[in-house]
Amino acid sequence: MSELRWHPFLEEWVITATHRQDRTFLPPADYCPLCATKEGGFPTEVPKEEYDIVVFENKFPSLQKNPPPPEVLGTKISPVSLAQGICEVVVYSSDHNSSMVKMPIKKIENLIQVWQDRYIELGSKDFVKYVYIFENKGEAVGVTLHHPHGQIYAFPFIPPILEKELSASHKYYQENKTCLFCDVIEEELQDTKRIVFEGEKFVAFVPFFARYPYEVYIAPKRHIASMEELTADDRSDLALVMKALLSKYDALFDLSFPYIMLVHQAPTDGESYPDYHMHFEFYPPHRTATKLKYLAGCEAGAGTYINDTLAEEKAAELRAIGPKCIEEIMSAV
Amino acid sequence: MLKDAVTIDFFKEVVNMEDGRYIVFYEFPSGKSSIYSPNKEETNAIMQPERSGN
Repeated sequence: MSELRWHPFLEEWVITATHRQDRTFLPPADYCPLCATKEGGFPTEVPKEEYDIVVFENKFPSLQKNPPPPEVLGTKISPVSLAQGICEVVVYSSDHNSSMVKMPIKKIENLIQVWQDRYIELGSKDFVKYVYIFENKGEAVGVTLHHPHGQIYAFPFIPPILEKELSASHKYYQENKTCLFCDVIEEELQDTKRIVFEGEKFVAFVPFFARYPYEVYIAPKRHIASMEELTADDRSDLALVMKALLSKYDALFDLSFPYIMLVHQAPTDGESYPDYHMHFEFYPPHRTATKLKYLAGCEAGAGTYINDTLAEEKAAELRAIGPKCIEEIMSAV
Repeated sequence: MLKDAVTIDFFKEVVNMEDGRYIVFYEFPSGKSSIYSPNKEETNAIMQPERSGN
């Protein structure tokens, strides 16, 4: 059973996908479905003995290219719609025990190229209005497979948080004739208190308005609306800044730091978004080495986040630990 | 609207699987030794997927 159901109070779609209840859940490493299929071994999702980076359609997709018709009738208040879209799995490496932070800079650059290619390819489809790239890392954020991988959802609509960001960016541009994100980045660079790591073209910072203790944005200093505008030099610097941040995360509590990583960028609905500025957001669930931040009553029910920490102090912690220059990043992990 | 494709330096092979899904293999010069044909965009090979993920 799979369909979109309209939430009339929040005015947004909810995806119903009951077949996902049966998806693979934390299999033993010997039976990882994302490892390469070895001769004589069990057939995995990747029918090759070797690969660099591989992308495939999720076997248990929330959105499908050719979705079944909804099995329920909607109402005037809550209509239903086809759950049409594409859900892809991006496997970063054939090494089961790797992770983005363990990958060489060049391999992270390659992954960024794959993201660019998927954004362009999926975004060119008529029914795809938004290409959403993300990674859930660690059981603390609900990951079901430990093999290093991320996901891409090609949505038939612009998701609500993006709608809000696009609207805020457009409104700010109308009022100020400058980009909201460019101005925020400029403020952060001038203030310096919340900067975690600065590259030549990208900067990582804990935003002034952080909702999670170790929340970090990575944004290009120049105005770029989507990943398709990234040059080879951009990719190199982005890979460097990402590796620096992830190395700092792992060094913080001496553990493989869980996080949700996502890319916010321009929709692919045929409209122009010159006032939007692409960026990455990282939401780690840890607030200390042993305590997690949960989205509880106030966050889940009211939509208002409570951050028990100061962005300036958390940024200082991250700045002080792990690699601080290119040479240290190259030799990290 | 999307612009022209970005500058790329990878080889890409798209394989259609038996259950109707596709799988895309990306290979980079800096990656593992080549087992794919350069710039091979698409094949009609049918492969059998098994275990699931995600």
